[in-house]
Amino acid sequence: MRLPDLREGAATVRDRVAAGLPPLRREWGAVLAVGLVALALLLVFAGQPLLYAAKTDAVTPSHEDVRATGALTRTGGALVLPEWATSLNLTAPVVLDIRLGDLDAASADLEAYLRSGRSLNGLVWRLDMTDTDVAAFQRNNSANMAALTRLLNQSEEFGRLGALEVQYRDAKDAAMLRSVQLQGEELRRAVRQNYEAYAARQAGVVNLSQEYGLDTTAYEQSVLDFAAVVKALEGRQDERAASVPETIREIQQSGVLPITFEVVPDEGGYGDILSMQGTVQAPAGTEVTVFSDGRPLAGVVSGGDGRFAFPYRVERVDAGRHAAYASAGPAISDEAGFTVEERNTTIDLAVGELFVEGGSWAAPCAGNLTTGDGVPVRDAYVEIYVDDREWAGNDTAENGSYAFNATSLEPGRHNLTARYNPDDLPLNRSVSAPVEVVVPSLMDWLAPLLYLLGLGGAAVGAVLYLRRRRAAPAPAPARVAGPPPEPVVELPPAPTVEEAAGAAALLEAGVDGREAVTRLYRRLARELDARHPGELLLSLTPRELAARFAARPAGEDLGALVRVHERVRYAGHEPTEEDILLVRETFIHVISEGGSH
Amino acid sequence: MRVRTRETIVVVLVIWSLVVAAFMLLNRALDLEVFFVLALLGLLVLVELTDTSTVQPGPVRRVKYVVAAGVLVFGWIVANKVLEILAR
Repeated sequence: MRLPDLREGAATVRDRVAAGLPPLRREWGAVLAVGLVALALLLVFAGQPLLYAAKTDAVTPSHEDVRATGALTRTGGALVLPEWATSLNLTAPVVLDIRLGDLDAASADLEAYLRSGRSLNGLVWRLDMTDTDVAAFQRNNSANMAALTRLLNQSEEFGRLGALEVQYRDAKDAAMLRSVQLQGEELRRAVRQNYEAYAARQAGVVNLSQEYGLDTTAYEQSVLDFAAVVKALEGRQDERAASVPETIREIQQSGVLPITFEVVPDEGGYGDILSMQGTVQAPAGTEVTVFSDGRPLAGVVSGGDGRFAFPYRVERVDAGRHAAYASAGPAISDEAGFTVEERNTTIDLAVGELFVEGGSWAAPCAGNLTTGDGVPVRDAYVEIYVDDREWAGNDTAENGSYAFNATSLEPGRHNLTARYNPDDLPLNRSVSAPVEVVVPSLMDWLAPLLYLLGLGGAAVGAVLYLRRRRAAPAPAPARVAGPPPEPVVELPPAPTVEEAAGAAALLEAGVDGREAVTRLYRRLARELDARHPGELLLSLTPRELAARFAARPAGEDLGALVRVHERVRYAGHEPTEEDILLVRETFIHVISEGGSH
Repeated sequence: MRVRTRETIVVVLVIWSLVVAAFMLLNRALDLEVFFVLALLGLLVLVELTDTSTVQPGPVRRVKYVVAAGVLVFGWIVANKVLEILAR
C-alpha cells in the first residue's frame, strides 16, 4: 500500500478507536488525581520516616530499627542503658574482694551492686518494660545478685568453719572436727552449684549486653574470679578432708570407748521415720549426740545395754545423700549414710463466696497440701496466684491444710491457683487446678446500659432520619392581581367612528396605559387579519404589520401606533397621555376607515 | 440525573476518605473507629446536599439506609469509648 494510504488508514483507525472509547468522566479523573496526590505524599514522607527514628537519634546501632531492639525504644534505652552498664560493672569488685579475702569490702561493694539492681528493677516496672530486652537482662541480673549474696555468705561461713576447726583441734573434740569437715563438704557442694548457675547465665547476659553496645569485660572477669574462689575453697576443703580424719584417729588412739551407729532404713521420703541407732560401751545414761551432715541433730541417752536410738522424721532436709554419725564424749562412730528421696506433692484449692473487706473484694481460699503418699505437708508456704501473679501466701497447718484470703481483687474474671514451691523440703512443686472467680463491678450493669443507650439512641435517630422529609419550599408569594381579562369586543364589518370609539373605551376600561395600548394594538391586529383572510397578519411582527399597510391610507397612522406599542410593550416605557390618545385615535381611525382595503 | 447523582456521591466520598486516611497517616494516628466516623460524616453531608424535598432519587434513598446503618455502628462505637473511659 502506498504511504499516503497508510497515513489515511492510520487516521481512520485512530478516529475509529477514539470513537469507540468512552470519554473519561471528569469525576473519575478527579479521583485519580487525588489518589496520585495521596500516593505522592506517602512517598515523600516515606523518605523522611515519621514512624521510626532517624539514624542520628539512635541510642545504639540497634535502634535504627526498633523492631530489632525487642521493643526497647530510643527513649527507654537512654534511660535504662546507663543503669544496665553500672550493674554489669559492679559484679567484678564484689567477686574480686571475696577472692582476696576482704569480706568487709566485698559486703560494701555488694550493697552498691544491689542498689543498682534495685534501681534497674524500678525502672523496668515504672517504664513498663516487661516485654523488652531490659526485662530479660533484669531477670538474669536479679539471679546474679542473689548468687553473689550467697557467695559472700558462703565465704563467711567457710571462714567461720576454719576458725572452728582450729578451736576443735585445740580441744581435741573429734566429733566437732568431723562436723566441721562435713559442713565444709556441704558448703563446697553449695558453692559449686552457685558458681555453675552464675556461669550458665554468662553467655546470655554477655550476648544481650553487647547487642546494645555495652562493655561486658568487668562482668566476664567476675565469672573468672568466681571460678577462682571456688577452686580455692575446694582446695582448702580437700586439705581439711585429708587432715581431719588423721586428727580424729590421733585423738581416738588415746583410748576411747567404741561406739557403733547405723540408720535404719537408710532411705526415706518426707514424713518417714528413720531410726538412727547404735550401741556404746559405756554405763547406762551416757549422753550420745547424733550428727547429721556435720550438724548436731539430737541428744539421746544410752540404755542399760548401751543401746541408743533416735527416731528421725524426714522433714526439713534436702533430697539426696546425707551422712550421720554419733559421738559420746571423745568417741565418735563411723559415718552412716542415708538417702532422702524427693516426693511429689498434690495441692488443691477451693474458693468460697466473695465478700467485701476494707472496701474491696476478697476471696476465701482453702485447700490441702499432701505428698503423693497422702502425708500432709505441714509448715509449708503456699501461695495464691491471681491470673499468674503472686497475690497472697501463708503456711500450712499441722494437717497440711491452709486457709487464707486473697484480698483486693479487681473487678472482672480471674483465675486463681494455689502453688507450692518447696524451699527446704524434699518435695516437688505442685500447682492446683485453676478456679475462676468473677468479681462483680459497676461495669457489670453499666456496660449493658451504656450499650442500650448508645444503640437505642442510634436506632431512634436512624429511624427518624429515614422518616424525615425535607420541608417543601415555601410557596411563591402571591402575584399582584393582574389586569382584568381582555373583553371580547365584536365589531361590525364596517364600524362607524362611534362604534370604534366604544370598542376602544371598552378595551381601555379598568386598565393602565400600558395594558390599554397593548389591547388596542392586539384588537386592531385581529380586525385587520379578519378583514384580510389568508394573509396571516397575526403571524407578523408589529413592524411587519405596519410595513404591510404602509402604502395604505392608514399606513402612517398605523406606523405611529406600532411605534408607541413597541416602546411600551418591549422597551418598558410608560405611555404618556399623548401616546394613549394617539393610539386610541389611530385605532378608531384604522378600524372605522383606515382598515379598509 | 440519576446516573450523575450516584457517581457524584461515590467520587466525593472516595476523595473524602482518601484525604482523611492521608491525614491520619501523616499524624501517625491510625484508628479504624475514627476513620469510620469521619467517613460517615462525609457521607451524611453528601446525602444532605444531594437530597431534595420533592423527588428523591433512587440512589439517595438507598444511601440513606447505609447512613442509618452507619449511625447504629456509631452508637456502638460511642458506647465502647465511654466504657473505655470509665474503666480507666
